[in-house]
Amino acid sequence: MNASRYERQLLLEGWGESTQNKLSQKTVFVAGAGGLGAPVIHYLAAAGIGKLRICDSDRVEISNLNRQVLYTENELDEPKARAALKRVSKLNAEIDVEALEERVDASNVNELIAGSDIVVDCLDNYASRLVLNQFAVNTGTPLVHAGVQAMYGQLTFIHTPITPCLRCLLPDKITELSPKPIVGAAAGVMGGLQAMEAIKYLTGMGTNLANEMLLWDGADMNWQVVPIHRDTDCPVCS
Amino acid sequence: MDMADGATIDDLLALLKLPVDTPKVFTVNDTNEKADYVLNDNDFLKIFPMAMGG
Repeated sequence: MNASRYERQLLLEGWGESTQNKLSQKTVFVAGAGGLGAPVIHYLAAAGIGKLRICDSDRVEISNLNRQVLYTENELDEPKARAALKRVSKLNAEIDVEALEERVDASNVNELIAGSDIVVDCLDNYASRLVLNQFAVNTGTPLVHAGVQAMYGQLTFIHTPITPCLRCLLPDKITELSPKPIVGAAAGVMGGLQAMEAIKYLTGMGTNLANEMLLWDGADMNWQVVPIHRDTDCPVCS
Repeated sequence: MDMADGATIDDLLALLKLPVDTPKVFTVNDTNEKADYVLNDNDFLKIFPMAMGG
C-alpha cells in the first residue's frame, strides 16, 4: 500500500493504517454505473476499497454525460462497466476492479453479489432495486439505497433485521417514470452520500443512516432526516 | 384539511389527486406511517416523494 496516496484520510483520528488495511480487504458491489454509480465508484476507488465489482449492462450515451462523471465523449458506446473499470484503474492501480456487463435480476443476483461486504444501490428503477433488496434481506448484506431525480433525492442504510428493508417503504404497485428528469449535480450529491455510508460501514467509523431516511430538496436546499420503521406485513422481511 | 372520519392517507392522496403508484414516505407528527394510516384531528402529515432515478 502506498501510504502517501491515502495520507489525507490516514490523518483522521481513528483511521490509521489498520483501518486502511481493513478497507483494502473489502469488496463492494456497485449496482449501476450511471449518475449515482459514477461518484460512488470514483470515491470508493479513491478511498482504497480492495475490490470493486461494477455492474451495469448499458453503454455510454451522449445523454449520460450531464451527470455520469466517469465518462467522456471518448467512451461513447462503450459498455459502462468496462469504461468505469478503465477510468478507476487509472485513478488507483492498487485496487482490484471487476466489470460485470449484466443487468441484475433474480436469476443472477446471487452469483453476481456473492462475497461482497456491502451493496450500493445506484440503479434507476425499483424492479431491479427490489431484486437487490431481496438478496440483502436473504443474506443479511447491508444495502445503501439512494434515488435521485430532478433536484431531489433520498438516502437510507438498509441492514435487516435491524432496519426496515426497501420493500417496507414502497407501495404494492409502482409505475416507473422514464426518462427521469435530472440535474447532474444532484446525482453527485446523492452518490457522494452513498459512498460515505459505504465507507463508514466498512471502516466502522461514524454512524450509518439506519432506521432513518435523509430527504434532500436541492431546489430549496432543505435536508430532512425522518424516522422509518419496518412494515410488520412486509412480504420480504417480515 | 377536513376529512371524513376514518379517512386514511391513501384517501387524502386520492382527494389531492396525487398518484398512489409512486414511492413516497409519509410522516404524521414526525412519525413514519404507511398509506393506510387513519388520520386523526390535528394530525400534521408530511408527504415526501422518493426519487426513482439513479
